[in-house]
Order: sequence, then structure tokens, then C-alpha cells
Amino acid sequence: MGNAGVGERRISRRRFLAGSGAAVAGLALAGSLARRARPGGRAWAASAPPSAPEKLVPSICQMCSTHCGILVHVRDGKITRITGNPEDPVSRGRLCARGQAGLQVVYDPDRLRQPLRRDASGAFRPVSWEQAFREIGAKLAELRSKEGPQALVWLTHPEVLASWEQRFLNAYGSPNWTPHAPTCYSSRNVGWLATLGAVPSGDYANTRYYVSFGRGINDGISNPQVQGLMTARRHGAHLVAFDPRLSGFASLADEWVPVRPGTDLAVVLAMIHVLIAERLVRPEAVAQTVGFEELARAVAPYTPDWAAEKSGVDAATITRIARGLAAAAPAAFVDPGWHGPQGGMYWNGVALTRATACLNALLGNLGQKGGLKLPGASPLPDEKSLALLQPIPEAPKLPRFDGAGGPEWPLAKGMGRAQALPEVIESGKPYPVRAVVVYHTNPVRAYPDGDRLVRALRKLDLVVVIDHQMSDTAWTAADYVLPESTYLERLGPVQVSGGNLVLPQPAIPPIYDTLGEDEILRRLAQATGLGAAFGYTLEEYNAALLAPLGLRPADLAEREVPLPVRAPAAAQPAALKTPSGKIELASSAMVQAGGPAVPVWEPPLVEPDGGNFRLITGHVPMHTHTSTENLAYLHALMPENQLWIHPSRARALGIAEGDLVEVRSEVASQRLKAHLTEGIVPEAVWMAHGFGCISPAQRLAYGKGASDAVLTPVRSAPYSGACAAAETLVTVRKVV
Amino acid sequence: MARYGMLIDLTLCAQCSACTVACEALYGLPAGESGVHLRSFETGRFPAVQRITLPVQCMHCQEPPCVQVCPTGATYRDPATGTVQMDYERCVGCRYCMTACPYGARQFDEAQGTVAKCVFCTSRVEQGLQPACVETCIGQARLFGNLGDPTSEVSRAIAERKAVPLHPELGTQPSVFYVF
Ligand code: SF4
Ligand code: SF4
Ligand code: SF4
Repeated sequence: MGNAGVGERRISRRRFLAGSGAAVAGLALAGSLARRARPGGRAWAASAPPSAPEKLVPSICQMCSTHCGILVHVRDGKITRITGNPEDPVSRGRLCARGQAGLQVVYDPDRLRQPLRRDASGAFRPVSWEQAFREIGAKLAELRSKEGPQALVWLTHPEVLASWEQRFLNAYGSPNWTPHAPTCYSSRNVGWLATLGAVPSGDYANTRYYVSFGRGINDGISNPQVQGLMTARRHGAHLVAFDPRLSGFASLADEWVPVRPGTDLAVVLAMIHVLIAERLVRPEAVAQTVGFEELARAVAPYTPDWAAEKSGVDAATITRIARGLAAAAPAAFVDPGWHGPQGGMYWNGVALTRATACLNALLGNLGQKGGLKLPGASPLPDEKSLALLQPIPEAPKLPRFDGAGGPEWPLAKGMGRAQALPEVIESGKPYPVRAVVVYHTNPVRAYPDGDRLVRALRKLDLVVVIDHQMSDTAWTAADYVLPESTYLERLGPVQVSGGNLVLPQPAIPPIYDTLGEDEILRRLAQATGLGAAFGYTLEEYNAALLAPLGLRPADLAEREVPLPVRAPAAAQPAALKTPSGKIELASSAMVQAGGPAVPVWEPPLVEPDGGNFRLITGHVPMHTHTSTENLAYLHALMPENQLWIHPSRARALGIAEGDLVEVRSEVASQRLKAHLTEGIVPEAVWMAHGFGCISPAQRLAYGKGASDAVLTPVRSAPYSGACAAAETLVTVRKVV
Repeated sequence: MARYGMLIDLTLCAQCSACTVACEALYGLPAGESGVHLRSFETGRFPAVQRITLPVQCMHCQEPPCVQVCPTGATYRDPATGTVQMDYERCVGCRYCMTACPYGARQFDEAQGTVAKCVFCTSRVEQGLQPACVETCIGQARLFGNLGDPTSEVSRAIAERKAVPLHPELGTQPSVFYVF
């Protein structure tokens, strides 16, 4: 690809920006700042914001899975604003755009207001809750006796009430509770669990040298991690972004190092090579590990020159950054990742995560200030120990529909392989699936090959979608749509967040005929003849969880701005939860699963050939998956995605900025506007995840931009079963 | 006599648009009509590319061109705070000020038929609060305070971090400073 040496030719942000005020201002003058006025809005409140007293309800944000502490401002029964709770150690009183826009989840004019049932003509008609529960319950009971309980699959994200959903499925007898892991973090979890026995986080605020491979903490934004890393930067931390694209994080970092997609593994292996070859690993770090000699032997051939050939990152840059990490260690780390290359976007994701884990281990940063940290144990009691919640239905022994946790996918246990659903429905193997319940997730635009999934779902006897908006999945495939109360209108299970116990409590009563998921599960269980599984309410459940700590829900709820109730400090384990109790550079779990003992080079699955592109995708800070694109504030910030394409490639295809282009993969095509940018490797095109809405009921979002997921063929990466979405080749043409 | 001012440190800005939504939500503005918007500019050739993203809002100029062109006196510089404010009763919607503003900081509010812009949250500041965009800024990139007092946190940070206004050569004397 001819960009070896790019790292050394990069210009430093500081040098570039010094004296560039005039250049930036010049661009501004050229008219780029001219702003559109929007018709039909309410008037700008010219003077003082209203000073009438507001009620402030402390709760927890559920616009993404970070769960920042919030204060919900309520006046006259209406939510006026959401701000960060200054007492909360996660948000520290600050919220991202999504958190503040949360009130529009409640007031979105397109929100679901009552239960709906699809009639024979295919149209949705209102139905009472009683009738919906009666009919769904009867269907589920019939299915269970005729086909067996395994014929039901439950798809879910976010997994806030996971234990309740699992209890329902246990009572029903189905093993098929299925989270969104393979579309997100499966490979990261498999790699870290094999090496550390846990998935660590970073001490962002205290780090001195931070390296990210494809993780953009201000792209797929994490509010506390951004706050931490910006604190570290104020104290002089050096930030490095390896990314095929000039992401938000890459544009903010001290250096952006473009890397060929799918080859991050080569760079990390070469950095390990440098640390070992240059004797930059301290004996204390080696003492925490097993398999050092084996790793040293394995990485001997992975020189920086070898990695430069594979990755397009020049050898000197690899060596310099490896030395930089070592010099700052242990207050240095390579981000453990989340969703990107480490999460399972590529075929070699588990190898990359393992190599990243090994590199961190050689920095000796585990448990050190500015390094990696293990998650603390929850201070909440194990549900199984609580008398109120007895009897717990046994988890069924049947094999899962997707094989996760079975002989073929032992390491995917607990994460599932949701993308297997269409194939299982089509083939009836390993057994027929006849009913699917979808909680909040939007598989049709989140899992690969959405068109095939729609066709498969339409073959089922029963599809129930629980959501607060008419998702694409609901619109295309649901028989019943059950409207859930939003997180601002319902109680949630007590949570531990930032070391505090937090009660997700309603700020206002439901404004429409909606129910919380807890109540939906209880009534669904009753209607299915499984009422005994839920002999308690969510209020009683919370009380039972808190009782052993000597607390009542009211202790977490009664004050307007509560002082946080500190969770008891979790004891740090003496040994890691690996077979050896140490950091396993050589992993016995991987060997058992048929993998190499230490991470070795594995190529990505596909290679663009010059006529096509690799499709890469990622998150943007103003949206969460497909769940926020219809909210007016966030829609205004980013109404649609665009296809990022390098100008040299675009020119050859006759594509100019803003042109409508068609992107075609082996399974589907999508249309969106082109954005020409120098900030992407020429062999790839990029689009933001979460657009291309096909549900006309979401009037702002409908038809805007394109869906990356729809273009992705169904794949399952080795060991983790992750979807490997970036192993997708596409052609691009201008639509004329 | 205060001179309110702001520092936006772009080395700490997460480009998250939290400031944009904070302003809209506080003032109940229609989506997209915030007092602050993020603008991006790309320069250079791959792989030596840079993208600068900067939040742009009213600069509360001490020599505001918008005030000079306003035929009705609807927009004015408030000497007590050094901010540029709007009297909506007087605004006839002629948009001269929008044309005059070299920063594109003003917008037309169709519903109201007037021009609107960032008000520097003066009513919050009077209550001892920070402007909404400052309060929520997750990068802690924003500082607000009195530029007239050289010992204020914002004045010291502007000096220490060598912050600059946009287009100083125009003589508008903006009160918003950036660290690039
Ligand atoms: S930035 Fe524009 S609107 Fe604000 S005071 Fe200056 S000229 Fe007037
Ligand atoms: S200072 Fe206040 S009015 Fe101005 S942009 Fe910030 S929040 Fe909006
Ligand atoms: S809130 Fe702060 S970090 Fe986010 S875009 Fe605005 S100035 Fe930047």
C-alpha cells in the first residue's frame, strides 16, 4: 500500500497548530461557519432561564452502558433538563450530548404509546396489555409443549435486567438468552479472560503514556474515561492513536499513526519483540506471568521491519512507541479496547487482544497507578443467596441454538453467537427456533446481513419486540410490539456505579400506556403459566438486594441530591482467576480451545484487491447504536452518516464530495453521500454505525444515511464467535 | 465593570457536542439552534493530515461589528459585563448583524423572526453558576470568568496556555480565546 514510513512523516499536532490560528480563521472566514436557521422552532429564550423551583431527581443515565449519575430536572410534572450529578463519581456533574438529550426519549413525538399487534393485512393495530399478554402467553405455552422450550430465543441489549430475563427463560426452560456481545466485545473478553481471568479497565487519569489501537474513547464515547484521559493530558500524558482513519480520538491525540486495517496485531507483536529484544522488561513484571520464554521465542521473528511490511507503519515508529511505553511504565498502557479491532471487528481479534494483554503485562502495569486495573467485586449479594427470590429455576441443560459454550465454541460461553439466528431458522439445525423476543436491541440493523435476518424472522410463529420506539426490527418483523416505559419513567435494579450504590428511579410517571420491563416479564410469565418464577416486584427485589448491606431503597432515593452511599470496598483477589493464578502469556485455556499457547501472527480474513475496499465502521459521540438517531437534538448534530473515502480513490471513480454513492458487498447494497477526506487509508472506506433507518415510524431518522450492519456478511471469528464485521469487501460507485 | 470571557482549550476538547446540547436544553431551543456549534477543518495530505474541530459561539467582541450595523440598537454591548446582548423587542429581523459578524456566530430564528445567539449565560453567572456549556464540558476544556481581572483563573490560563482569539487582526477584540 506504499505508505511505509508514514509515522515518521507525521507532523506533530503542536508544531502544526502553532501559528495556525490564522489558517483556521481564514477557513472560518471563507463562509464555512455560516449557519442554517431552522424553521418552525420555539423561540430562543432571550433573557433569564426560568427561576421557578425545580425538583431534582437523582437517577442514572441509560443512553449508553456507562451509566453516569444524573439529576433529572422536573417542573410541573415535565422533565425540562438532565444534568450530571455532581455527587456522582462517574459523571462528576458532566454529561455528554446523549445524556442531556435523554429527555427526548420520553418526549419523542414518534414514541410508542400503547401495545400493538400486527393484523392479517400486515398493519399494526392497538391492542390492550391484557389481550397482548394473553395471546403471547398462550402462544409461548403451546410452543413449549409442542416444540420444546429451546424453540424460544431471547435477544437483548442493554442487559440491565439480565437476571430477570434469564429467570424467565430458566422457568420456561430455554437456554437461549442472547446478549449483543458478538457484535461488540466478544473477542476482547475471550482474549483478556484467557490472559488475566478478567477484563481490566485503565487508570486513565493517571497515565503518562496511552496507546489506542482503534479505540476512540471520544468516538464511542465514555464520559468518565474522556474526563480521566483529559486530566492525564493536562499533566503531560502522551496519547497515541493507531487507526486506519483520522477518528475523533486520532485528531485529538498527540500522534495519529495510520495502520492498515486488520494488521494492528503485527504492530503489537513487534512492540513485544522490541521490549524483549531491548531488555526493557523489568524482572518484577516477568515474575507476574507464566510463559515468558515461550512468548519471547514466538515473537523473535516479529521485528519492526517485518511488522512495517504488514501494517504500513514504519519500523522506527513502532520501535519509538514501544520504547515510549517502556519508559513511562508502569504508568502506561495500551487500551484494553471495547468494540473495535480488539472487540471482534476482525478475524484475528482474539489474537490481537491477547497480544495487547501480553504487551501490557510486560509493562508491569497491572494494579499500578496509571496502568490497568481489575474490576472490583460487586458488593451486592448473589441473588441465589436471597430467600425472597427463591426458588430459582434451574438453568436448563439443553444446548444453545448458536452452539456458544458447547464443544465448538467453548470460549463464547455467556456471550452467544447471535448472528447464527438466520441460519438456524433456515436450516432447523441444531433444532427449530419458532419464537423470538427482542428487548431493545435492533438486530435488523445491529447484526450482520439484516435483510436475511428479516426474511428469517418473518418465518417464525411469534416475534415480540419490547422497545420504546418502533425499531426497524419491530417494523419489519414483529407480531407484537410492547411499549416500554423509558428509564426516566420506571424503576430499575439497584446498581453499583463508580463505587456507589445507585437507584435508577423514575423522575415522572409514565406519560403513555407503557410498562417497565420488570412488569412486562412478570405478566408475561403469569400469562405463560410461569407466574411462580416471579413472586416479587422490582421494589421488593431492590429491598432484598440492599437488606444485607443494612440499606433500604429509600436511603438511595429520598434526598433530592443525595450524598452517595459508598459501596463497601471490594477485596482485591490474591491470585488472578486464571488456571495458574498468574498472567498467562501462554494460555492453557486457549490451548484447550485448539488455539496457540501464545499470540502469533494471524492475517485478517479478506484483502482488498485494488478494485474494491475494506468497509470499516465505528461509533460517533452523539449517537448510541441505532437507538438515538430519531431524537431531535442528536439528529440535528448528525442526521446521517457519510462514506469516508480517500480523494485519490474517489477521483478514479468519478466521485466528488457529497455525491450519492452505492456501496455493494456480497450480501447487500446501501446508498449514502460520499465524504472525501485525506484522513483515511486509501484501501478502506468508513461509515458511522447506526444509520439507514428503514422504519418509517421514526420520521426524523427514516431513510437517512446507510446501515453498515446490513452490508456485513454473517461470519464468526475463531474462538470468540465475534461477527468480524470489518472483514467485509465492498465496491463503490457513483449513483447517476 | 467586568469583562466576561471564555477559554476553550482545543487540546482538551473531546469534540462531543455536549456544549451544544447543554445550551439547547437549558434555553429550550429548537434542535439545531444552539448558541454553540462545532466546526471542523481538515488540512494536509495523507498521512500528514490534521483535523481541527472547534466549538464556535458568539465571541462577545469588545468592538462588535454586529452592533455597529444594527439599525435599531437591538444588539448592544452591555458595559456591566462586557457581553454583547440582544433586545428582542427591538430586533426587526433585518439580519444585517448576521452579515456583519465575521465568525458566523449569529443565526436567524424563524419562529421568532429575530436573530439569536449565545448570551454568555449572564443570568446564570449572576446566580453564581457557570454557563451551561462550561458546566457540562466533559473535557474540562472550557473556563469562564472575568478577563478584566488579570488574577482570575481564566485570565491566568489564557496567559499560561498562550490562548488566542480568532481573527485578532480584525480588531473586534473577541472575549473567547482558544488554545490550539
Ligand atoms: S462574534 Fe459576531 S455576533 Fe458576537 S459580538 Fe462579535 S460580531 Fe457580534
Ligand atoms: S455561554 Fe450559555 S448561551 Fe453561550 S453557548 Fe454556552 S450555554 Fe449557550
Ligand atoms: S462539551 Fe467541551 S469537550 Fe465537548 S465539544 Fe464542547 S467544548 Fe469540547
